[in-house]
Amino acid sequence: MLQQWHEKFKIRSCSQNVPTQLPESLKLEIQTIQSIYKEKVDENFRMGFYEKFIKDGAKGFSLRGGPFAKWRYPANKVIYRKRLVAGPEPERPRSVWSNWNYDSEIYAFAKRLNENFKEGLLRQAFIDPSYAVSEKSKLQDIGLEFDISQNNAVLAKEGENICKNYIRALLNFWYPKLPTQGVEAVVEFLTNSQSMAYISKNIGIMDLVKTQEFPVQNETLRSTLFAVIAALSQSESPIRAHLFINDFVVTQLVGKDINEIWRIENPMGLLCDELKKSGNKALPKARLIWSTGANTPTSAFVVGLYLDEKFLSKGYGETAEIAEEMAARDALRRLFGTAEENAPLPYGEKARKFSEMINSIYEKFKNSNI
Amino acid sequence: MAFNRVKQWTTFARVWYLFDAKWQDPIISGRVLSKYLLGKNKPIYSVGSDCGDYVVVINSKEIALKDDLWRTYNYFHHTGYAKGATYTPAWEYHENDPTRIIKNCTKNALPPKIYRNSLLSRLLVFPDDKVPKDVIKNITDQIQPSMTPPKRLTEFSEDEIQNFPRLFEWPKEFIIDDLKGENNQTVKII
Amino acid sequence: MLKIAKNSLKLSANSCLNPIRQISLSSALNLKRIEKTEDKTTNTITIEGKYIDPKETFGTGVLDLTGQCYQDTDEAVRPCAFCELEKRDIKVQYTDVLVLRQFLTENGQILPRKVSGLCKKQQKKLIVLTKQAKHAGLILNLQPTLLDGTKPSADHSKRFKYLKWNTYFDDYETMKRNKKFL
Repeated sequence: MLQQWHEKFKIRSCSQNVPTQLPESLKLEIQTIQSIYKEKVDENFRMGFYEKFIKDGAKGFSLRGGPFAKWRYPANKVIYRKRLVAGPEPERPRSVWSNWNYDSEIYAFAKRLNENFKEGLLRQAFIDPSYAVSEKSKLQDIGLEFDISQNNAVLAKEGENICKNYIRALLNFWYPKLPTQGVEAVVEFLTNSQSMAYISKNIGIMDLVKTQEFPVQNETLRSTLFAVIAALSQSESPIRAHLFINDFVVTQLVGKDINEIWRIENPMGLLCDELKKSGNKALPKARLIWSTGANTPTSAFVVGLYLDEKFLSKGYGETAEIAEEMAARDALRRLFGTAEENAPLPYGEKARKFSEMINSIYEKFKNSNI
Repeated sequence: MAFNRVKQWTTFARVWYLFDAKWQDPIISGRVLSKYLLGKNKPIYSVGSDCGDYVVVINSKEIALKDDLWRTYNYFHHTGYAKGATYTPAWEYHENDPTRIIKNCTKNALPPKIYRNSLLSRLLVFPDDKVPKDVIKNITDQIQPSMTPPKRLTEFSEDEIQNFPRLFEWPKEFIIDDLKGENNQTVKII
Repeated sequence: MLKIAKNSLKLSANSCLNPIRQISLSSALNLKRIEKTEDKTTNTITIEGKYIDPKETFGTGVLDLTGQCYQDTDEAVRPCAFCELEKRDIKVQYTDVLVLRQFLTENGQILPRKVSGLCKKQQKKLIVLTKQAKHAGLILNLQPTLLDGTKPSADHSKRFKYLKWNTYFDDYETMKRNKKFL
């Protein structure tokens, strides 16, 4: 019965997800409505709801009875029910549309970023290895040949190395006192699948990438972005790729705290170790500076850390223990040069001045790691 | 876990203040206390924000009224029925409940809104300096009193009185017995 | 207050306001008291003005307001203590109990101007200040003895109704400006 209704309304997009059997309560409702208002509903929908709307325009709705006609309420109710059963319209790739032109899209992609890619490399960067395998089997049936080696697996690996090493070099330049654990934590945060997928979606890689899967997974988006970076460094110059990373990847740190990205579980122990390394024999001592409402649920404590009777840092919290832990974190921030008073990282034209110095550090990393 | 959770912990904390009402005018001190209850001493204050502090008042029994107000000032109350008006003088009002006058004065100083009672619930008044230990632990700061309490003559020690510099010297040819009272009592010179 | 007074007075000792100085042959710090003694054997009554050592009664420290010992000078030349203080921007109020006490007897009576050497204007002020101090209960131990020979208690909390609670007053000068007196 519902199929008949569908033919009447001609809602094509809904037809994919229509279940074969309806719940009986809904069936009964539709039948009763149909029986009561059969004549009037039929009159209005015989032609088909959407066709009528297209043909007559707004006139089609206001044909009979005015805006508060008796037939309008049950008719709208049926439409609403059907929409609920059908569900939302499914996502489809952009390439399904007839006006899709892959060549022009790739050309536009390069121009949008203001970069001069080699076209062959860029096309190769967008081909996922899973797509290459399936494409080859398809073409073999017809009798054509397809080169499997033309995929982005090698490019992605190279791009990942470039990206990670450059971020390491940049962090080493701006935060020279930050230990390697902290640097690695930030690198992981910037190059994980979630943040990389966010970048590649907003650049427009999601529509251009060639994969079998739909919707496209975050990891494939990540690997294609790495491949694009590698293609850029090969086609133009590695310095150009570094600027790309600086502008798109490192800018994800805006409004985020490095101390939150790197989670230290035992800050007091780390602080003692760091102080020992720097040559201090004495351990830091904690003293209560200020407190209010100690017996209330909204209590506040301020604890200060002192090293050889000199002020190190202070922390806040609802108990003295938490305040002490926060004071240790504050001391670590000041030791590593990542305190709140410090200026944020420079981006854009301000960062161009330091690109040579960062590149010199990058080459050391490149040689050591590979 | 957010490590910056406690970043502004002290700005939004409710601070506990102590106020010694010894020899203080309740009308003047009520105006001062109302500012602390509303949170007007803070830079983050705005009309809608609930950022008031706690105030603990001690020695409310020893408040001081001006001139002859203990005798002349009357608290009015009407029962609602005919001849139901009562006038209680301030000294009697204070005798019945020594915490009541200072509470009333702070209430009058606060803006007449619905949340006035919730602000007044943060005002703890004690007649003596006997405050429960749980309350004392919370206190951090002190509100400076507007008037300096005077000292009675009985509270000075004898050395203090004797060592205090004298302003005038007695005339040499003065006969002390001339300073006799009306009832022919002997007069001691101090 | 009086610490400041002491310092300022020391400074002003050189600039004498009253440079009169008289030579006296008798001992400088003495007071007379009339004493009556009877000798029954000779049936003689001797009445004599005995000198008392004032250090026993007054203590030692005397504030030198003019830079000279005005014990020896005449009464007319003696300066008014309150006026001298006012010249140095010190205004006595009812809370300065240790000052007021010097101008009172043990019964709480105000000493005459002959003794204290105040001018008329300051004597008026002294009367108001003592009234205020008594009303506020600051000098309760200076009260006249009752007919029983006992003294009323100095405990302010046992006073009559409205007098048992603390009261305060404005400065004498502001009260005078507003024409308000007790």
